[in-house]
Amino acid sequence: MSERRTAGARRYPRSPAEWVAGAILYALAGLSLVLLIGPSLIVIGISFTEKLYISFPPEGFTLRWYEAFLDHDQLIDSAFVSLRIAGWVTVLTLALGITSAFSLVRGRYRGRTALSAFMVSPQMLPGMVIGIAVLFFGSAFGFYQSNPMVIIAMTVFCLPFVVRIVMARLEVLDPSIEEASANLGAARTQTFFRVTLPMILPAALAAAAFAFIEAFDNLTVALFTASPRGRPLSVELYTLVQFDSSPIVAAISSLEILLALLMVFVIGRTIGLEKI
Amino acid sequence: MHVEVDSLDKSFGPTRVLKGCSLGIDRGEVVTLLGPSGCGKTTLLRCIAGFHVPEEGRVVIGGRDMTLVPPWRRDVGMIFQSYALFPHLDVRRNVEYGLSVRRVARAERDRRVAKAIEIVSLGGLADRYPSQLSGGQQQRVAIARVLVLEPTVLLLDEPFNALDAKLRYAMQVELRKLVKNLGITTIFVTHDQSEALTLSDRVAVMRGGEIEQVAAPLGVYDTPASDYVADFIGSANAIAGEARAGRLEIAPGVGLASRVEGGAVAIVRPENLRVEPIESETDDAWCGRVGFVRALGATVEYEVEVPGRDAVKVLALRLASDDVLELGQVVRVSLRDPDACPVLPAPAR
Ligand SMILES: Nc1ncnc2c1ncn2[C@@H]1O[C@H](COP(=O)(O)OP(=O)(O)OP(=O)(O)O)[C@@H](O)[C@H]1O
Ligand SMILES: [Mg+2]
Repeated sequence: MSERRTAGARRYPRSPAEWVAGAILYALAGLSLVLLIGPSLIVIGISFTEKLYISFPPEGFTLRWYEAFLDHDQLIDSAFVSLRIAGWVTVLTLALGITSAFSLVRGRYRGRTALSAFMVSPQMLPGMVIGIAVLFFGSAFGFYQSNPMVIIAMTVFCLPFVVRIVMARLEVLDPSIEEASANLGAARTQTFFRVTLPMILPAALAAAAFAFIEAFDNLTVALFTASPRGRPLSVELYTLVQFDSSPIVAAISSLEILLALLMVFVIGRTIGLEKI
Repeated sequence: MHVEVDSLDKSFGPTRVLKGCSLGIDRGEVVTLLGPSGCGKTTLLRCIAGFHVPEEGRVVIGGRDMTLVPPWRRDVGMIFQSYALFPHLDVRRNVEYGLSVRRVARAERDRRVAKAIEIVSLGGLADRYPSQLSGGQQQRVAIARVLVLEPTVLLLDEPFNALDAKLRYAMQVELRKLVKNLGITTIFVTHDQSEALTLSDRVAVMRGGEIEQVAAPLGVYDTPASDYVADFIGSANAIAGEARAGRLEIAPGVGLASRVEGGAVAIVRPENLRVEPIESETDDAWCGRVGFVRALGATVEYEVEVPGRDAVKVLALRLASDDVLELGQVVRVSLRDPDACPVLPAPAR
């Protein structure tokens, strides 16, 4: 084999087995990327089609499906319902997530490990199970399908995610930083607000942003807990596609993708994605 | 006494870490806590700072019983080994922290922060964040952050471990001057005996959760309370034997005056011994073979293997014109000054 000089860094030679392993690795990574991004690209493509029904490949280019969405009062209303729900869920998961994570990591009481396993367990459950559970539990107390019920169920659904991320952050914090604060004269609550909270907030906010997106577009939880009137967007869309296959659904999905990307972009710019 | 630790007991689960630990420190005094890893130095310091509540005993500071007072109400500054700076605050706000917690007025706050930053010569770095500072600079911020509160007691837990030898030495000298000027009662934990000897008015040697001896640096060196202390501070040959009629024979023909009768141990410092090459070993003298040589430049350490006895460590000064003895060389060992060897009762086994 002749030695080749390249402009880049020199490497030690690779064995054929290494070469094959590398090729397989890249192929798999490429495949997952296609599987992850492909559907989104297809949806975005369809949203600009001139055809009257969902079909691929799209034909022509038009913005009429976006206009149709903006003109569709019921859909717009439900989008605002979803935004309100997502806002509440974000606030609730932040408040509950930070306090419970703090107690689970810094507390000294019996059954702490059991409790923390319990706290994060809803993440193992399908959204449907949580939706049904909250529905039955609520109706036992005369509390029926409504937006507050969606908010509660969605909070249960999203909370473990926030708790887990905040716990992970707290666990790597050097406890002597909080001790130093106490040593400098800060009582417990002062230490929490001046030292602990600022150090875990970026991670908590990033987690809450994902809770926002989840609460905005989750269907399974909302399906069982939303009232028939003033439904969130996900449920509204679900019923829409049952008898209407117009590309308006693709337009709305594309807007949701845009919202998620915007969120990721903002987090990346302010907090840093590596915090999650 | 400014700080008084009175028979503290502290356990973690089944392990009893502090066992009736007592220590008194005068106002403005600098005391180092010295002891092997795990003997309870950090635990004692944390009891004084209020991070641990001892099961038994009292911590009295300035005449007030502080045992059950939470850390934020003690007038005690602590420097942590990891510095524990607030990563989300810049240097100025780190230093300002204690004042802002106490709601000190803005003007006075600024004045005191500026002064503290100046004392530790961090002038140009006030706007940097901890992650943008070197280890030595972070160390200074930690010190300034505590000094700005003008504490009467300062606790330091192995604060210089992360620094290189030169900076470490400079910081030791600086710290000593600083606390002496300000008259702060200081307790300093260290593993490093030279640090202990440089820095302190008195050295407290800890052993298994108790204070074994407290004395001036040269005091613990010259008149150790036990062979444990002797071995811990500097290096020592602990030579055991039976003392009879006021005399302890540590080698053939080498006797020391002893106030102890029966089982005794003599502490012989390596620098108190001399070696000279001889032709062959004899039974009636202290002699052996050189088993190990460590030539350090200004000094040479020998380990002499004596048949039928413990090996002895010898420290010799060396000039460039001196010959270093070879391994295996037969030598005679002799004492420079027999009066400089304390004889202690043999430790109970
Ligand atoms: N929070 C704790 N929980 C359980 N055991 C502890 C705790 N803190 C200390 N210990 C134990 O107490 C003993 C003394 O610890 P301490 O940290 O006081 O030792 P030290 O003298 O500071 O040692 P080093 O020189 O290594 O820092 C050790 O055996 C340690 O394992
Ligand atoms: Mg320690």
